[in-house]
Amino acid sequence: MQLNISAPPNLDLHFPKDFVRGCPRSVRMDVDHLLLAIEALDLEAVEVMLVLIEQLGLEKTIPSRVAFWRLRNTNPLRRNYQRASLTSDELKALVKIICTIAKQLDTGLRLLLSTQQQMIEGKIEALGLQQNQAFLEAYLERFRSLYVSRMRSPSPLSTTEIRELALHLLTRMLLCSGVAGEYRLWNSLFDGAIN
Amino acid sequence: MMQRSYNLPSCSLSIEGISTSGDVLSILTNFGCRFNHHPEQIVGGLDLLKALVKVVGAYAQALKSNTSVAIPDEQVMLEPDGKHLHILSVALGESASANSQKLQIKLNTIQLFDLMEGLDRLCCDPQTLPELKLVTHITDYRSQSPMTAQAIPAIAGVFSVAIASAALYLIPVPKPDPMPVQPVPAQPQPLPTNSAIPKPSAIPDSSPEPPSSDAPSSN
Repeated sequence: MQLNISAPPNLDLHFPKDFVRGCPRSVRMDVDHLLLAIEALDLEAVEVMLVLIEQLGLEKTIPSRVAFWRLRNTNPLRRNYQRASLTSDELKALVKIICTIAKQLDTGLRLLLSTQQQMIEGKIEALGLQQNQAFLEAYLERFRSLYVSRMRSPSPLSTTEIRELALHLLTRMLLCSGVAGEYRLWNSLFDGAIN
Repeated sequence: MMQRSYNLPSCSLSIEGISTSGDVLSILTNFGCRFNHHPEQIVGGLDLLKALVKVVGAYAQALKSNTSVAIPDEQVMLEPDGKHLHILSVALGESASANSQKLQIKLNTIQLFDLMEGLDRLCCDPQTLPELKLVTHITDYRSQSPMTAQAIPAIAGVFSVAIASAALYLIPVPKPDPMPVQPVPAQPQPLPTNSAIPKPSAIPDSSPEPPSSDAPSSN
């Protein structure tokens, strides 16, 4: 029997009640880091995102490439930080974009995460999967160079911390690639955030 | 009798039940959850399924925020094992004490995700057990640390402020130094002396000079 799985019905995303002062800093940072990780996974992802904006009907919130760039620069660690914040609609649009792309990148994410697991267990040599390890290293290196070039200098994180962040973002992205990904991502953004 | 199954690369979840109206599976008879890497299947009824949904949902949510916490429940428990492995322990059987069989499965992040995704699909499927809801809040588990543990830092803060203010109270308030009396020049300098100086840049320098020359004379 064909299963009819749709997005959960009454799951509307909105700022939790205590966040009266708008989008917290940590949320803006998290969202931008996720977008950066997507870019590191696929260098053409920005073009895909711009197409997705039209497909998802988000032109009203993000009308142009520059507007998209401005939204990403609400991350306070960015070199071009403009002291702007995100509205609820803008954050919703970015969450939607992240989750839609994460669904498409699912296979790649699984490959990279299982490679990471094999590296920890020291199985790469035995299984002859050096090529996968090279994929993972390439992702980490791309993330590092993107991070260093976009964030303010001197870099807020050390090279090891950037690597940790890149690996954590892979897990995070996998967890938001599911059917309820948007809802889960939204809740995790606000979990532990400070107003 | 109806059957629904949710298949993911490393985990498959199958639901069996009876429908009361139309296509909607509304009464669960039993469910099974099998991992590819483990021979034993998790089998149980509605209570176990609900506990699983709750624990796995909360655990995955905590994992995302990079704070791995053990999420215990009566029948199901998920805890981190190192940085990348997770142990799922399930008490099978009707009662937790009598002839219950404990099943422990080690999951890596991908297998955990597949389990979460299977359960999420089930929760979001309007045609299967519509009363099952997603669990995305972990605040219930966060605040499990006893109240005293949370209160100690606050009380310590209040006390240190009190002690510091008591110590500072003993220090005398410094008295202001008596201001040296500045005599007012009796007569303003006549303007012509300024205009007599040829360079305009020297004007600011010339003005403080007259009072200082007057001061010794009045004292």
